[in-house]
Amino acid sequence: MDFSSAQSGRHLHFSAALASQLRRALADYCADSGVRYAALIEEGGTLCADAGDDTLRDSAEIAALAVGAFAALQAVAERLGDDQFEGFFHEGARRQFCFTPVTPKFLLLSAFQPPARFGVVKICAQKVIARLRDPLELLSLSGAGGEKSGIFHPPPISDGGNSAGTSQDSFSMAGEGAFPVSPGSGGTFASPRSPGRNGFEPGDWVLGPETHFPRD
Amino acid sequence: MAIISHDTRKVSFKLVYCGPPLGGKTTNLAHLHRRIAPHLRGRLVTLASSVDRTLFFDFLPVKAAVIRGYATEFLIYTVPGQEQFNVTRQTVLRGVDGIVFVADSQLDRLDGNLKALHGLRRNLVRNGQSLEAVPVVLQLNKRDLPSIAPVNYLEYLLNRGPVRWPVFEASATDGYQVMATLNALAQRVLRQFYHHQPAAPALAAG
Repeated sequence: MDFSSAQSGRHLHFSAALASQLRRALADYCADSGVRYAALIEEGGTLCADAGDDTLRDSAEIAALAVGAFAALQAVAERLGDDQFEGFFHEGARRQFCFTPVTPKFLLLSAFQPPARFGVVKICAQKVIARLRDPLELLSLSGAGGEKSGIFHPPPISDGGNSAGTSQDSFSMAGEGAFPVSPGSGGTFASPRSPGRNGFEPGDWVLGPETHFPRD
Repeated sequence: MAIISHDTRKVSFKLVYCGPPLGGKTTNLAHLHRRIAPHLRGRLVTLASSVDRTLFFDFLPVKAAVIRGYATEFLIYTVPGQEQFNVTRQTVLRGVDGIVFVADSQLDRLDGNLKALHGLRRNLVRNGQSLEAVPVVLQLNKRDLPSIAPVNYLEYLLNRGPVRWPVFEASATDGYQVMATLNALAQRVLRQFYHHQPAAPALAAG
């Protein structure tokens, strides 16, 4: 088991191995569905993985806005009596996109245009969600203080998904208390119990009394 | 909740500016946007009404050199101050790593400050966090205006928790102490991340 990805305490660690697996799943999704750009976004508004057309990438802003927009529409749906908000789809003149919850903590953004069709995208999205869900739920649950609750309400996945992609082995998931590979260490893990460096070596830090931004 | 990507070598922190309506949260962000070099920050995204009231949030991503070999990104948000936007505030606060509470120093806004602080505490609890565990900096804004409350009275009202927050007297419209506020919060957030434990007792204010 790869101990390089975990939610340690309050932080989410994405190892190179996990990030690569997530990107591969998203790239397969783009190829299968005709989606031009797919992004996996965490509930706090941070981009975690993406694939497809780099020219559509505007990661920080789109991720923040996507989570806000989705959460707002979900809250409207709840107040209108629909507590199972499965996502939304925008059909624009130039671009179409949809947001689909993957787990309570992760959201999938898919941007596409003709000839890709929403029906196909929706089916392929279900498949990639089935591939992504297990490792992401494990990631959310692992580590001290890990918890599964989040703001999204993903629907249950029917078994039409690609179950071959959901095994732990294929994603090399992390276990409890896991810490990431030290940068450039070639596979040596920091001790899971080493006192507070979040997996970084003391020498990695530039932390000091200095300011990180310009002064007034 | 910091997001650490060892693949792209990036660490992301989420900072949120909270406080009463019309307290100066967006003005803080606008000043940061002007002051930070363009290559170290993204665009300022503002979702506001036609009368410049924040409807959803403002958003500004900025970068800093903190961990060697890793790009460090601070995703800075404001929340709408008006009472009816509480759902939005709660959403924006999800996974927050650090908070600036922008208090309005004017005497007739004391009640608004207290309401905003109570609302913040409540929203964090609903999100499974607590005000005591998140690094917070208190900014007493609008110190340039007449009819403002004394600092020690504002501190008595707003800064009485078990963890005493660093305090900055500021005037966001002039940019006074805006960067100092952000630097203090960044330091506290990074220190907490470094030590990987709940917020330490208050550090010396700048």
